[in-house]
Amino acid sequence: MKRPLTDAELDSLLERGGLGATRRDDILTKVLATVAAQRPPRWRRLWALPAFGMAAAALLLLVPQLSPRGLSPFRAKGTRARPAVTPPALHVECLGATPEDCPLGSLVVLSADGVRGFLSAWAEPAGGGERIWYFSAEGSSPFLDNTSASSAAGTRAVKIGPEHSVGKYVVQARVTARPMARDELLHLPASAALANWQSSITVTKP
Amino acid sequence: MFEGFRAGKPEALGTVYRVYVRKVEHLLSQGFELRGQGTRVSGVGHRPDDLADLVQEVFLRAFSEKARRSYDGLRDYGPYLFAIARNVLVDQARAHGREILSSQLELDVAIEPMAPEDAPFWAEPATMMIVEAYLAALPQDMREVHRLRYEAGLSQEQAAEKLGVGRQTLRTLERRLRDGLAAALDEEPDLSPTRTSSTLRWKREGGAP
Repeated sequence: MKRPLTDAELDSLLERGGLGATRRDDILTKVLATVAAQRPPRWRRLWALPAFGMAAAALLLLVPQLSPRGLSPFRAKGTRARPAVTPPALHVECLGATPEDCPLGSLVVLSADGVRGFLSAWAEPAGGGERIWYFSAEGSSPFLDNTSASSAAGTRAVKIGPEHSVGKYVVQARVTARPMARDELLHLPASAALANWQSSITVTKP
Repeated sequence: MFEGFRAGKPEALGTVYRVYVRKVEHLLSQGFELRGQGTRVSGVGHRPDDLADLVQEVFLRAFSEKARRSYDGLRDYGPYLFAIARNVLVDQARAHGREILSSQLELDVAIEPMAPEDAPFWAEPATMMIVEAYLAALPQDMREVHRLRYEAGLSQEQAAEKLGVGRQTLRTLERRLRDGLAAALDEEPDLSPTRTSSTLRWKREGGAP
């Protein structure tokens, strides 16, 4: 049984083999949305300046009180105290809206901090219905390398396309040491993933 | 422009994207060879979904704040971007279980030039003939839409401005271009595939390419 060509395939033919104009525009939109999501809001940047100044002043006041080697006398004996480790975290953001009211056609940005591995993600309709896959080995399973909070490689955007219905979805995300197929992911014990997250979005009419 | 790029301004990033996106697509489609290794890192061919994923990955990396800040504006941006594209392709090969090289530095110096531009084979000859015939028969206004959007690679805004129409009108014209091509391919009775061609299989056999 044959199926009609998709717009992307027709675009590719019209361009004699490239991605096609429409898909290229879509990619740029997603990339720009992701870059924008990584920029701290203006208010945070403005606040950062005096905060930095205060932190620097506090440091100047504290430094003379530290021991000559710069270590607290109350530190754990033996090896040097390790810096605090931030647990992996995932942020779900609906650009231009909120996860509780995310109109069809919006871009949802998934940002992972403090973890390195392959991202898988999908959405389950809370009221039952067909599961929607965003990332898995069958499609693409991007490699996140965001062990520092500022790295862009820890952020991916997905479009809330027509495959979504209006209603609440539970978004599941996993980071694993290798790309994983959908069946594997659905049966993966929590301990086998480098990180697991669950969040929710409510898709609304545009 | 450079300051805008480093600051992550959408206009500057969009300009850079449109200048380089086709070359990046070409590299990701064709793959490349490692000098002295006898190893070829395969491209994804013309599978639109895979290609789109990788193109997005390349520009996400290239436009990250860290990458923007580390570009000094003195060197040509192309080789810098293509190195990122090659690394994305290598990461993809590794993700699929193909070990390429362990050293990033080694990879950067081991690149052979890309395959020549005139080499790509993007569809069955029969399909290509239909597409070419369809494009050649387009009326002047539709030919201009095709030229601006599919050959010159302009954005919808830029193309609409050049054509003196609104974006909605341009979208309608693009829809008409696609529908016309789909109809032309449907009308052709002799399109039985003679060899594996993802482009032709989309239409004639169904299923994922």
